[in-house]
Order: sequence, then C-alpha cells, then structure tokens
Amino acid sequence: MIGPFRFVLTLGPRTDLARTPIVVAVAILEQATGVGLAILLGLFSEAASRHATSTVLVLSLCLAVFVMLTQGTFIAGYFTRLRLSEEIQNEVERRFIDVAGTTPTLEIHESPGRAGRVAAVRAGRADLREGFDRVLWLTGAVLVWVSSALLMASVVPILAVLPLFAVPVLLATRRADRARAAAVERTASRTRLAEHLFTLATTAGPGRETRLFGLAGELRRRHREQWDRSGRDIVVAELRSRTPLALAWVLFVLAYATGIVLMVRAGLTGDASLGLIIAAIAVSSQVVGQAQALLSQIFWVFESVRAARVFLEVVAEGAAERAAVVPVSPAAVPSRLERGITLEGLGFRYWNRDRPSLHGVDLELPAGAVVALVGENGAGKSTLVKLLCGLYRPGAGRVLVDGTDLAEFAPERWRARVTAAFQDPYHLEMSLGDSVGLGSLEHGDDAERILEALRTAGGTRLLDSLPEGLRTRLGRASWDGKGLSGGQWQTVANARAAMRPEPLLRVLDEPTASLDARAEEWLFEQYAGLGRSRGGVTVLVTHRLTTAQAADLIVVLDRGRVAEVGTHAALSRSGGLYAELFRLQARYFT
Amino acid sequence: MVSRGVVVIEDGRIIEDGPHEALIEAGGRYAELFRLQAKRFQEASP
Ligand SMILES: Nc1ncnc2c1ncn2[C@@H]1O[C@H](COP(=O)(O)OP(=O)(O)OP(=O)(O)O)[C@@H](O)[C@H]1O
Ligand SMILES: [Mg+2]
Repeated sequence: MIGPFRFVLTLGPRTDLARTPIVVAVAILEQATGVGLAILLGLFSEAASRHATSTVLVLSLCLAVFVMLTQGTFIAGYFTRLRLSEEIQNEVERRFIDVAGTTPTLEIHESPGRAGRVAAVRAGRADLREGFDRVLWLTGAVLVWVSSALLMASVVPILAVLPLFAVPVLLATRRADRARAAAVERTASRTRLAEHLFTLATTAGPGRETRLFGLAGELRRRHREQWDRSGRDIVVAELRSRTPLALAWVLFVLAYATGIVLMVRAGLTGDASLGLIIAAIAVSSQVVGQAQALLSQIFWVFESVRAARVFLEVVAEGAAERAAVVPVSPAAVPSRLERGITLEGLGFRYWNRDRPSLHGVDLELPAGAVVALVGENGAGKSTLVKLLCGLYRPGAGRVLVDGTDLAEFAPERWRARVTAAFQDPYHLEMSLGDSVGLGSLEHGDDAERILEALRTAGGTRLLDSLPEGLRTRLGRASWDGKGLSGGQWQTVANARAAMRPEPLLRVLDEPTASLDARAEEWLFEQYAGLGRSRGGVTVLVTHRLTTAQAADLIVVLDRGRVAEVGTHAALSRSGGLYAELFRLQARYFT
Repeated sequence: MVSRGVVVIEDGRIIEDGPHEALIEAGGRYAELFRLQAKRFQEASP
C-alpha cells in the first residue's frame, strides 16, 4: 500500500500530466509575489540612494513584468486548477467504484465499521479533490518562508534559526489536529445518524411516512441532539489542545519581534546595505501572514492526507477480500448444468447475529427444475439464495455446481451465468430500456430483446402506458423521471432478470409479492415452462403457495433448517408445515 | 367472507363497489381477479 501522502502528491500528475505543471507554477508564483516585491523594493531603494536613474527604470520594468506574471498566471491558471481538482475528484470516484463496486461478495459492505469508513470516504472526497493543490500551496508557502528567512539571515546571520521557532507551532498544530480527528472519528456514528435523519426529513421517499406520522419536528429534534452531542465532544478536544498551541505561538511571535529589532539595529549601525535591510524588513512585515498561510496549509494537507488514508484503507480492504475469495486458478463454469446444484451441510451466520440464519442445509436442486423455496418470515430463504449467487460465502458446508465447489469459480464468471430478481429490488433509476437492458450488458442495446424481456415479465401494459416507451426516464429520487407504482417497479426488476439467456441459476425472490392477480398469473405461466427445458435451475422464493405448488420441488425452510422437501402432492399429504400454511391460504378460496 | 365492502379501482376510477358476494355475482373485474387466484387453490386441492 502506498502512503497516503504520496497518494495525495501523485494525484495531480497521475490524473492529468498536462495540467499539472501549470498548477505547480501558479501555486509557487502566486505566493512568491510578496517576497518578490520585497526584493524589488530593496533593489529600488539601493538604486535610488545611488541616484542610478537607468537602473530604477529597468527595475520599474521588471516590477511591471513580475506583477503581470504573477497575477496573470494566477488568473489564467485559476480555471486550470479548478479543472484539475474536478478531474482528480472524478478519478478518485472511479477508483472507488472499481474497488467498492466490484468486491466479490457483499460481506465486506456489511462488516463492522465499514459503514463509517465508507461515509468517511464520501465526506472526504472534497479533501481528496483539493489534496494535490493543497500540497503545492504548502510547498509554495514553505519556499516563501525559507527565502524570507534567508533574506533576513543575510542581514543578521543569527536570524537563520528563526524558522526553527515555527517548529513548536507546527508540532502543536499537528497534535491539535490529531486530537480533533480522533474526536471527529469518535462522533462519526452520531454524525452519520444526523445525516440519516436529515435525509429522512427532507427527501421524498421517506416523505410519506414522515408526513403521515407527523415526524418532521421529532426528526429535527433528534438531528439537533446528535449534532449538539458530537459538537460538544469536538469542542472539548479543541479546547484541550488550545493552550499548547497558544504557548507555541507566543514563543514564535517573540522570536520574530526580536528578529525585527536585530535587523533595525543592523540598519542603524550600517552593518548591512540599505537595500538589503529594506527588503528584509519588508519581508518581515509579511512574516505573520506567511506563518498563518503555512499553518493553514499544513492543516488542510493533513485533512487531505487523512481522507487519503481512509480511502486507501477501503481500497486495501477490497484487495484483501479479493485475494481471499477469488481463486488463483479458477475452475471453468460449465456451459449448462448436467446434474444440478447440491448444498452440503450449508450454514451461514451474519457476523452481527448470535444465531445462524442457515444451519446444516442439505439439498439437491436438479438441473432443469423449478424449485420453490417457502417458509415463514426470517426463515432464511433470501439468505440461501444470496449464498447461491455467491454474494456471501458459506460459514459451513459447500455449494456444489455439477460437483464443483462454487468457491472454485471466479465470482464474476459464476454470476455472469446467474440471473436474479431480489425481494427488495433496487430501483435502477435510468431509462426503462436501460433499467431492463442492464440485466444483460451485451444485449443492453437490443430493443427487441428488451421488449421480449418486458413481455416475459408481464410489462407490456406498463410499456404501453409510457408515451416515450423504452426511452422513458424512470424514478424521482435521482432525476426528474416518471415515478412508478410498487408493482411496476417489481415488473421492471423481473424483466431485468429475464434478460439473461439460459442462466445456470435463476433466482426469483418473491417476484409476485407486489403484482396483481393477472400479472401474477402471467408471470407464473411464463416461468412454469422456463427452467425445465434448459440446463439450469430456477429457485423461486414465494409466500404465495399457489405459485409454489406448480414447482417440481418445494423446499420448506424453518428457522434456518430444511423442514420438508417434496412435491405439492407429497407435502400436502404429509401434513407438515407446508400443508398447514397452504390450508391457511386456501380456506378463503375453496 | 369476512370483508364487508370491496372497492375496485381501475385507471384512477372506482369501477366496482360492494360486498364480496355481490361483486362475485356481478361477474365484473373483481370476480375475474378473484377467480384467477381461487382457480390455483382449487386445482391444487386434493
Ligand atoms: N443483512 C443482514 N444482517 C444481519 N442479519 C440478517 C441480514 N439479513 C437477514 N438477516 C437475518 O437472517 C435471518 C434470515 O433472513 P432472510 O432474509 O433469509 O429471511 P427470509 O426467509 O427471506 O424472510 P422473508 O420471508 O421475510 O423474506 C433473519 O433472522 C434475519 O433477521
Ligand atoms: Mg426474504
């Protein structure tokens, strides 16, 4: 892992080599103005005292050119700096997508502390974006600082040690900064909660509940409470580090005051030339400003380095998971299933749970079969299908695909042959065509195929109701698109899942939960025939037992274990959990 | 049936409204949807 400082420092050249030199020049030149003017002032005085008119004229010309150069570079470079920062942010965001968006499993995203780290990366994007610029400005500030010191030292040599008096200030600032960072980190969960409350109170999605239950005032109160409490913690940390900072600063100011006295004396006794002394004193008048610039630049660079550290941590986390999960020489994923998928003693526990969500699951899912997975809320159905998709790794046991352990496949390769509509499908707010078409990237532009998928999912009516057809923008959370009803969103997700041709595994987790009776009937007929003819397995999770009854195999899960397996007829006869649940639903209809 | 009143909405308008039995008898949209669901249960019952 490269160090966070190096990361920040190399962000510029790595992102845009052409713009970097301009930004470097701007950062240095802009800050050189003060010292440059002081030196010119010294030369002026020197020339004037010798009545050297032509030198004064040349110097005037130099002055004009110098001012033009510094101001001009600054103005001309302003947009270049801005653009470079924007490009750096884009680059960082893309790298983050590369890392966070491609972790082989979801486990890492649910691991302890992860939410905090990711929030820190999100919040730190601005610091990363400005990091390179800040380092340059810091470099400029240091150069100015050193040249000022040299100038003063050439009048009174002892003043060469003057910069050393800044060291305690730097150390104290650093300590204060660390203490503040630790306080911020401690309060991160509160800040995050406040952020969450803010979103709840101000966005449309949760707006229904917050209005219905009249929550705005309550959310506002809690928001304030969280900020007040974390604010207190941070203030305490700041107060504690204030005294050392003030002492260091006083020491520094005293040293500088002494320095100026020494220079004035050198001038009065004629130890140094007039021009030099005037230049040195002019510079010393800027010294407090320079020191402040230096301090604030250091502070900002710290912020950027901290943001980079969290960012690199998250990057390293992703790489570590990849190394642990992805086999070095992965087995080939079969092109079709001959035997099927076998679960052997499968167990899984979410890291933050005491009890396993799946325990000792042994199952045969034969190739070509439609397998219904039923059971009460929290039984482990969704967990099981996520394991089959390779989104979690089994805590115990194995998943065998035609005899090969799922863990031996490259996760992307396996998932390329899996399709799924999850229980709480994410609203992909894109055009209707994209939202469906992304189910199979290589066919994402194939309108015929998208229409076919929509037909399969029973989305023809939805399509007809949208005047712009596949080009209709969907969703209102991220752009000004068309809002859809709950069942319509589900239909879009089902259509997306229908995009992949001949998957080895098709997962449908409650695909009809929001659908009306007719849409459900349609989907049911579509899927009833699908799995059987092909070399793949369809796993259908459902609470609607009429949907389950047509499956080739019904698996009943109960508190993480397989309670029953069989056909509808067999399970109905056996009088177990399935028969009981079925009777509960059927009594209203028969 | 337990439900005393059913309101059927289609395209933003109420198209049927009344007790379950009456709507089944009327043979409209509600009856159609109900039959769709019931059919599967009847088929499945031994
Ligand atoms: N991300 C998670 N982190 C921690 N625990 C979880 C998580 N997801 C599910 N669980 C727990 O695991 C158990 C099984 O959940 P799962 O979602 O598999 O149930 P399910 O059978 O799909 O239920 P439902 O019918 O409600 O969809 C539950 O006790 C649930 O609380
Ligand atoms: Mg579930």
